[in-house]
Amino acid sequence: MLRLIGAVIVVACTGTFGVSCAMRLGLRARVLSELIAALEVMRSEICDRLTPMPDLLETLAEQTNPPVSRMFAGCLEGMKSLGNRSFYFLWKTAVEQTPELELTRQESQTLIELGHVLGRYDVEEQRRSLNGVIRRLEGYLKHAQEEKRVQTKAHAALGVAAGFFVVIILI
Amino acid sequence: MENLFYLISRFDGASALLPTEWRKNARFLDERDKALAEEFRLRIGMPATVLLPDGERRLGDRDVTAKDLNAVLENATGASAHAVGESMKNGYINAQGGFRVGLGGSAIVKDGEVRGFRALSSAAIRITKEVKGAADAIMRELYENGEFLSTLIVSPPGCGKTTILRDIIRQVSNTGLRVSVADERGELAAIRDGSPQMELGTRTDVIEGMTKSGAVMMLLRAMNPQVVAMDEITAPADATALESAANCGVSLLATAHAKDISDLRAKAMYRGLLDGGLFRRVITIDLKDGRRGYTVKKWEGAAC
Repeated sequence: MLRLIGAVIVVACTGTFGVSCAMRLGLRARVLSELIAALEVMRSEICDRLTPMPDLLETLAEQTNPPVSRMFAGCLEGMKSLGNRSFYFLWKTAVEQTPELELTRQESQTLIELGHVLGRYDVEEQRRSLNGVIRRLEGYLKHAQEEKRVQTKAHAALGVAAGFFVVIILI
Repeated sequence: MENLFYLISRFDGASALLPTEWRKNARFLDERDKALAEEFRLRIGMPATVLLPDGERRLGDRDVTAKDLNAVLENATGASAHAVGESMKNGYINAQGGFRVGLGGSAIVKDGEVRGFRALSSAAIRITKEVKGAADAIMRELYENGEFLSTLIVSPPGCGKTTILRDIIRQVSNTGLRVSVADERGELAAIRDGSPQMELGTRTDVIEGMTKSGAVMMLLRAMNPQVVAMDEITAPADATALESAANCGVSLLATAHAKDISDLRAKAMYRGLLDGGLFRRVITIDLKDGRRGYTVKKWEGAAC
């Protein structure tokens, strides 16, 4: 009886691990999708309404969901030290200090590079950069969605299978 | 004493736009220098300086770099260069607190229009100060039978035309007259997020960021002013707009660059304004030993 309970626990644990891996794939796709929507809002606000950066960051922090909202809120908080630190530094720090975004190194880097242009150049230059970053994030999103579609079931199945494998070896 | 505190707070406010190192050095200036300081100057390859009545004084030994100028720009715009694009096209930014940052560098020109600067080479942070009461001694001379008379303020650059214009606007407005201000460069009211950073009186309406002539016509149509004010008549269109305002029975208040009245009359555009009797009072400013003296002349047209 004890063996059976132990086996169920092992399979449940490895299965949960597999499912959580699958869920992280889903979260990454959701975050990318929300980031793209936020950058589209940013593009409109900067290019059409000429909204100053602090107001824009506040709006985005309010309108987006965690963890994306936390990134914008972090950057807004950092704006208090603008003058001692460059905007690029504040933006980069905000991206790096929001690990819950679950972005790959390449995706983070794409987002961080935007900090070189935001608020620094004229409207057209910022529009071009935002368009470029949105396009690249859309590419990452497609990849993430495909990865999610293919690997979600695989992760869950592998988790459960790994559990059975361990149980068989132990028994 | 209250005035000294105010002047020092303006100095500290302007120095907050400097990169950290020079901001710290600026804080070590003595109070008198802080009160008298007019500008901070940053030029690439040269030490940063503060402009005092007796000339420029270094704020440190390190030379200004492009990175420093970009930091000033970012700080002055709140990392929002796009939001100040229109004024940047004219080579300046109005920063929080009403401080004006003049810029120099390689202009970006697209479709024949200046869009900004590719590379900054210098910046001048003007420590804008309100001097409430600057016009106290001459206000009575600007009225006749209780009516405010159209007034032109004449002086060379840097003598304080804008300061006294701002105080006259404030005082005239506080007497109950509706004053409309065409503030093309945003220097009089220094509006930030809709709020004027400078006090222009209780009955003052301002349009900034558009041409003075366009703003005057818009204000005449929309705000029903009793007095129209503008800083620096520079183009024939400004003169035409003022004539239109005068024809509507509105009193005028404006400034012009010239050494004195005869220098002003040597220029056809101003001669037309003066000889046409558009202005009834002309204020000239003398700057001696750092102190300003104001002279009000009654003006009745070419005969004077």
